[in-house]
Amino acid sequence: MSCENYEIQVSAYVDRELSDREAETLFRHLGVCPSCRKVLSDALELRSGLGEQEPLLAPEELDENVLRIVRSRRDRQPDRDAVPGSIWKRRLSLRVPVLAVAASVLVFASLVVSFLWLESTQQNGNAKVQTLFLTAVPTVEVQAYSLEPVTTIQ
Amino acid sequence: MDPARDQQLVESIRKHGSLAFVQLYHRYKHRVYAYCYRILQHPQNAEDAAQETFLKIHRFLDQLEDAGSLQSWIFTIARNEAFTLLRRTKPTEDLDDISDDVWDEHTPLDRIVAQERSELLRHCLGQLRPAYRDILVLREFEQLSYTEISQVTNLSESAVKSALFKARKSIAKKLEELLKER
Repeated sequence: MSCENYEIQVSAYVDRELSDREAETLFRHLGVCPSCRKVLSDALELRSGLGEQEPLLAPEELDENVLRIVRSRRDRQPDRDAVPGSIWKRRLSLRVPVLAVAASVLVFASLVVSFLWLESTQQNGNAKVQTLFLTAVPTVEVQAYSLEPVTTIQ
Repeated sequence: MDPARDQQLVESIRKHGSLAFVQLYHRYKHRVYAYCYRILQHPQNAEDAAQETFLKIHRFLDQLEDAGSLQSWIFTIARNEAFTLLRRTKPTEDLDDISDDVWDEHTPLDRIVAQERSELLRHCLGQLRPAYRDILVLREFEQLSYTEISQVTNLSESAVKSALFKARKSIAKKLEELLKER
């Protein structure tokens, strides 16, 4: 490996990104290469120097601006106080199985009534029981029983 | 910089909303602001970029799939905001370029008035091209791993490793020259 490659390894070593095996190989080279040793000492000195930099603190105006806007978003959409979209996603995902269940009930109910109606017309040719269905998803509501033939269905 | 705590925080935000977001904000505000400042080298622009970063975090947190990578995600947003503002001042420059010289040739190195080494170092950091400065700041100040830096910058880990080496070597050489001139 050339010195340039070792120098890159030095930089990665300082960042603790070398495997044990790579570090071992590097240190064997550092033992015989003053130029690469200088690269290591420069990198460590740079780290130390950057670590001494004055900390940069966020100004108070940042607090005021961010928290004010977040609060106003919350006030505008109280139901979305959780992460936007998540509450609505939960409500939407809750509706789907309810709709599916309602549709299944409708189909089943229709089949049962149809069967009963057919049976009753076969057994009793004069009396016909018709069940009027007025449906509004997801509920099924029986409005009336009529002994007279129904000519219109609303 | 504790992934487990970050994960708990994300879960808390998903359950409790804005109150928990405030906790996230206070945990990251200084780091995000400092990062934006070091990229932009301008306090008002840094504040604007940091503000936009947190507003986007608040808006899109439900799109974060892996709560354990909260830190990388936050700095990806911060980087985008900072570089967007930087592009307004340098519209023709390829800010993401790390194939060229590390120094920003459009900002000539002035005669350094301050004699303190830390001032010289801060000055040298400001003279790096934005792409190099970005990677060095993410590593030295935010202590992101190569993998995390790679996620934030969309560079390969090998490119990150190489860029860090070039930036460090160049700063060390420049510092030596400047200190000799004193």
